[in-house]
Amino acid sequence: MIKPVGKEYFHLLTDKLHQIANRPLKIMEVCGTHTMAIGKAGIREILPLEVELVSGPGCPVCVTADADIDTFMRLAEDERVILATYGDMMRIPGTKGSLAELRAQGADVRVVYSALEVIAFARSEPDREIVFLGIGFETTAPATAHAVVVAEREDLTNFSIYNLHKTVPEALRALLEDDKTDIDGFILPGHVSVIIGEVPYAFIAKEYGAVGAIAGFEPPEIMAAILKLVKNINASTPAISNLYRKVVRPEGNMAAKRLLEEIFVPSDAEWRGLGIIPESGLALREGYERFDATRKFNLEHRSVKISPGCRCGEILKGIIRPHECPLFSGRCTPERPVGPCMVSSEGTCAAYYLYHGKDTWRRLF
Amino acid sequence: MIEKIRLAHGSGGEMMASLVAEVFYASLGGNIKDANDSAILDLPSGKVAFTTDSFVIDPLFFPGGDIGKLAFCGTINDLAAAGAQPIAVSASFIIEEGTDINDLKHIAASMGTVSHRTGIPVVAGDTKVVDRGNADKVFITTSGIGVIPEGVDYHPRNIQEGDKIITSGTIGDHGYCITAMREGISIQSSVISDCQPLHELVASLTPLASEVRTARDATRGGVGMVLNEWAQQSGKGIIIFEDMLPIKEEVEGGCALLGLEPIYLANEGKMLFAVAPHKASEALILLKAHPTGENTAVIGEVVGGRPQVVMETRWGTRRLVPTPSGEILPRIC
Ligand code: SF4
Repeated sequence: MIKPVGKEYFHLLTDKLHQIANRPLKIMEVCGTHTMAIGKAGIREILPLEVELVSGPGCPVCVTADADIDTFMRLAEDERVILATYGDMMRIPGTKGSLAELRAQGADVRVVYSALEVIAFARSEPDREIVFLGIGFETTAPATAHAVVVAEREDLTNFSIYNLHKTVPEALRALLEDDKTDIDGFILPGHVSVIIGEVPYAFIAKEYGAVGAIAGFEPPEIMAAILKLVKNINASTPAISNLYRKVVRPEGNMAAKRLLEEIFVPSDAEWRGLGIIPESGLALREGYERFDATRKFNLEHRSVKISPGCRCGEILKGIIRPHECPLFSGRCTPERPVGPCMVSSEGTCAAYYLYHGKDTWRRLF
Repeated sequence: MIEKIRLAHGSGGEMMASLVAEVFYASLGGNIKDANDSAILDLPSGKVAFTTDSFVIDPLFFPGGDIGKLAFCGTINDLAAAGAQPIAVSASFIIEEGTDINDLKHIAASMGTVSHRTGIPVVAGDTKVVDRGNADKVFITTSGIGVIPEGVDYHPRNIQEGDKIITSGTIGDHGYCITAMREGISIQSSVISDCQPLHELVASLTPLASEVRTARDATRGGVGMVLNEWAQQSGKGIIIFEDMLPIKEEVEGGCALLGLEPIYLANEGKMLFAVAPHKASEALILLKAHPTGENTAVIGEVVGGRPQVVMETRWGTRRLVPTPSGEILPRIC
């Protein structure tokens, strides 16, 4: 049994928080990994009633638009095509089923752990067209960029990317711009911040007067972030605090950032539930277009309605909680998910279903 | 050259006869002369327990066992969970064309080894060979029959508030071992499958039978699955304590890395018990005295409230332990 480091510290922080929380506050944990860690450690259960944690749009799988999945799946109509993606994407329903179903029907859909595996397919199967579904935030985008660099160097003509990479700060701006949201502070994603550093979040405090804290994933780290946010809110000090210094440098990871810049340019991107967010995507830069599957296969993007009744959009914005969706735990369960927030292992609805029960969202006991 | 299974091995002729003799009779006992369409058994008096299970594990061989041992132990443990003393087992093999005969020999031999060691015979069997691609190497279905001693009734409806929840050892070893192999981290892994027969362990509790409410081997879906079933079947809540769960350090660390939870990993040699509180320490002593129960531990108790499983985390907080859902790792047993 591994003993938890800092259990006492965790409770100290919790007690402190109870002392200083004096008015209703809404804090959003942006990232799905935080959502899971919070659920697993039962953190919501011991927060002061004033402090509400809502989950944000930081699960890349959840924010993928139906239309994008449909488009990617259409590629399989060409028998030469091999589709490759990360395991998490397999069960996300588009309007015509999921990639897992497509594979069951005989399409060549492969699950990979890294973008470089896809390069290996391209090398060893020169007669096939390998299309990689590039997905994720700033954390996985560098790996895709690296694959592009390798493909370019080796002049691989049968490799391309269906690029759905997205960036976090622009989504936060969209949330802050939205009148329906009322978020007081953000727990900022640890892993994304390792890459991008502190600076890209500065606008949160400067332009919107909100607070943010970059946090690690251990319960005391999360609790410390909540405490810091509440302190800053109480003191009316809009600021971005970095509480994950052991791995997040203020300037981020320069090498990864350079790589991203070399391969990608910011572009508009469609987020499920949030719509088109300007500059929140990463398009292949001039000179690399030949690796863009959308161009290569002349893919047209047909927009589609999201699953009727699914309220993922409002969930991702922290406007409603999962149990307020009429489908939650009835028609929509992890075995038979209706929306992406229930499919992904880091989805908000899945996390609540798993750790909070079917009909409560906060107090289990 | 390695000899491979061909379709002819399944078509009833001489090839089949020699396969059955060399592979199955050799390891599992029996012979052509005495073979009949049914095994005839003498059963002691009492209630009869009867169970069946299919095994499709991939890979066939893993540290700590193989599909043959697994299939035998799995059925023995299902009988044991009902409190039954196993009497006999049957085994059916579905074999894919092209399978190495040597692999098959190993599988039959390891099944034979547990059968001899436990004294529980394999009394009936069958083999079928299917075209390449219609099965994945070897699938085995085992059935078992056992007799339940007087006074034993291990049904979850017997569970009462206050009962202690006991595990007969470390959690998640089998599931972790298989996952680690599949994920390619088995080279550094020292965790082996816990695949083992548990009927003697369960029998060691017979003196306390009236205070043992129920027992279940925590296979697919792990401890989390069994406890949720118990909560549903008994209509009672169950609380478990995270820092009382016996979990090997490597399993715990590996799970964190792979995003898995040990309480949902399969076990193939661990029994869970609900025991009346005043007999829990006695049960602990009896179980620990048995070699397969050395690491027995109390991990929680039955409480009032909703029929759900709650974990008190190592952080002192509480959270739900839901029924595992979505993809339970496929083909781990
Ligand atoms: S519960 Fe299901 S349908 Fe409702 S918002 Fe969540 S994912 Fe969508």
